[in-house]
Amino acid sequence: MKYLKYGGALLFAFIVYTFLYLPILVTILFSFNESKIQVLPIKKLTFDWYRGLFSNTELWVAAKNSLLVSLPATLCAIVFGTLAAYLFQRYRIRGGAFLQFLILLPYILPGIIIGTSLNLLFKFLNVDASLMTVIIGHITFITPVVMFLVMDRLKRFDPNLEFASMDLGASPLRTFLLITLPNIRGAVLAGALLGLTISFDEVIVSFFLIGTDNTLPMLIWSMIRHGYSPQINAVYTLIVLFSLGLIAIAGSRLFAQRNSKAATEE
Amino acid sequence: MYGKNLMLIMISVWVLLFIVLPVSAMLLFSFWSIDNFRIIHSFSIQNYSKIFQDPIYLSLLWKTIKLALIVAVLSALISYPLALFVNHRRGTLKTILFLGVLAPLWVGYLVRIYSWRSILGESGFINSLLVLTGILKQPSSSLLFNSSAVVITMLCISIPFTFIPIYSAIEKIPGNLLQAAADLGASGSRTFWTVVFPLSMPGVVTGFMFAFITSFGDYMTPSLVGGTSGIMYGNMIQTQFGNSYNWPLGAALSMIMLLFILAVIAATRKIGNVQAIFEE
Repeated sequence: MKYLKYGGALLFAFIVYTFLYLPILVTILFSFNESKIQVLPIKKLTFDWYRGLFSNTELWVAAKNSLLVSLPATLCAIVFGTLAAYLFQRYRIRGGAFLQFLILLPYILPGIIIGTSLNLLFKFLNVDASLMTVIIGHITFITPVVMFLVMDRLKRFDPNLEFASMDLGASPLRTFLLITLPNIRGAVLAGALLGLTISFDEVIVSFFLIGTDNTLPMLIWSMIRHGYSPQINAVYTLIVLFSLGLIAIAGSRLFAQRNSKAATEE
Repeated sequence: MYGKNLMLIMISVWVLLFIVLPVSAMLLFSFWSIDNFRIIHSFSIQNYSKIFQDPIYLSLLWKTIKLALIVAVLSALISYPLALFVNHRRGTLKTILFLGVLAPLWVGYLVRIYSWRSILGESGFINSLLVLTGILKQPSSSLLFNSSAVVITMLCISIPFTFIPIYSAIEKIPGNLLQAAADLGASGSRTFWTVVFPLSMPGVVTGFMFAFITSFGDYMTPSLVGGTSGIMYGNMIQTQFGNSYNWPLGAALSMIMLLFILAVIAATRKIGNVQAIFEE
C-alpha cells in the first residue's frame, strides 16, 4: 500500500514535470529536424538551422539590442533594488509598507498594464519609442526582484556588525561598502543574473515600448506571426540553455549561502 | 539620518517616475477621446460609458475572468501536491526538483507558447503521436485555436507562479508541530487536514492570486493559440494600441483592468502573503 502511494506520487510528479518541460523539449528536438514542418517521426537530423543562425544578421542585431537593453536595465535595477532593500530593512519609515507595495506592483501587475501606462506617458511627453524606452520599462520589473532577494539576505545579516563599524568611526557609506555589501554580494549577484534572464526573455512590456530596433524576443514574435520556421527552435534552444545555466548559477549561489548560514547557526 | 533621507528621496523618485506618473498619464488619456484618428484633449467619460454599455466589452471581460479562474484553480490543484512531493525529498534532489519547477518561470515565455501551438497543431506533436500509435485515424484540428488550448498553455506558464508561495508556506511549517500531532495520536491524514493544510492556506491564496493575475492580463497566449474564439480582454487593449489607434479607449480598458486587479490584490492581501513569491 505504501509503495502504491509512493508510486502514485512519483507518477504524478513525473507527469507535471513533463508538462512543464514538454514545450522546451519539443523545441530542442525539432531544432535538429531537417524537415521544414514540425511532424513526427523525425526522418533526418541536421545542424543546418544552427548553421543558418550565423548568416542571419537580423538575429545578431536583435541579440545585440537585447543586451543593450538588459545590461543597463539590470544595472539600474541593482542600484535601486539594493537601496530600497537597505532602506526598508534597516530603517522604520512612515508609509514604508505602502512604498514597498508600490515598488512591488510592476512585478505583480500584468505586463500589459506597465506597458500601456509607460507607452501613454511617453506619448504624453512626446518621447519617441526607442531602446531607451524599453530599458525604462525593464527597470520597473527587475527592481522588485533585486529588492526582495537582497531584503531576504539582509534579514539574516546581523546589523550589529554595521553598528560596530560605525562606532569605530566609519561613515555610513563606508560601512555599507566595506561591511554590508560584501555580505550581501551573493544576493545582489543572484538578483542581477535573474534580472538579466527575465529581461532577456521579456516581450510583453517591450511590445508597447519598442521603436524601430527589435530586441530578440520581439524579432521572434514577428517571425512567429509570419508562420513556422525551424530557425526559431534553434535560436530558442540556445537561449533556453543559456538562461537555464544562469538560473542554475544564481540558484546554487542562493542555496549555498543559505546552507552555509544554516551550518553556522547549528 | 542624512543618508536615510537621501535614500528615501531616491526611492520616492523611482516610485514617482515608474509608477505614479505612468498611471496618471493612463488616467488622463482615458478621459480623452478620439475623433478621426485625432485625440480630443477635453474631459469626457465617453470611453467608460462605451465600455459599460457595449455588451462586447463586458462579455469579453466576464469570459476572461472565467478563463483566468479556471487556470488559477487547476494551477493550485496541481501545484499543491507537487509542493508536498518536493518538500518530502531531501538534499540535492530537493534543490534540483525545486529549481526545476522554478526555472521555466523565467525562461522562454514566448517559445513555450509558440511550442504549444505546434504541439497542439493539426500536424503537431500530439496529433502525429496519436496517429502514429493508431489512436486517431486522422489528425484532429480541434486541439488548437480555442479556449482549452489557451487554458493548457496558460497552465504551463502559471504553475511555477503558484508553486512558489505554496511551497514556501508548506516548507515553513515547523517539524515539531507535525511531531506533536503524531504524538497525540493523529493519523497522517488528520495531521494534514488539521495542521498542514490550514497553515499553508496563505500560500495557496497567494499562488492562486498570481496565477489568476498572470492569466487575466495575458494577451500573447490567446493571440497565438486562442484563434478567434479564444480572444481575451488583453487582446482588446492590444488592438487599441495597434491597428485601431484608439489610445484613449485603450487607456480606459487598461485602467479598468488595473482597478480590477488592485481589488483582487486587496481582497487576497489579508489572507495571503504577497512577499512569499520571492522567498525560495
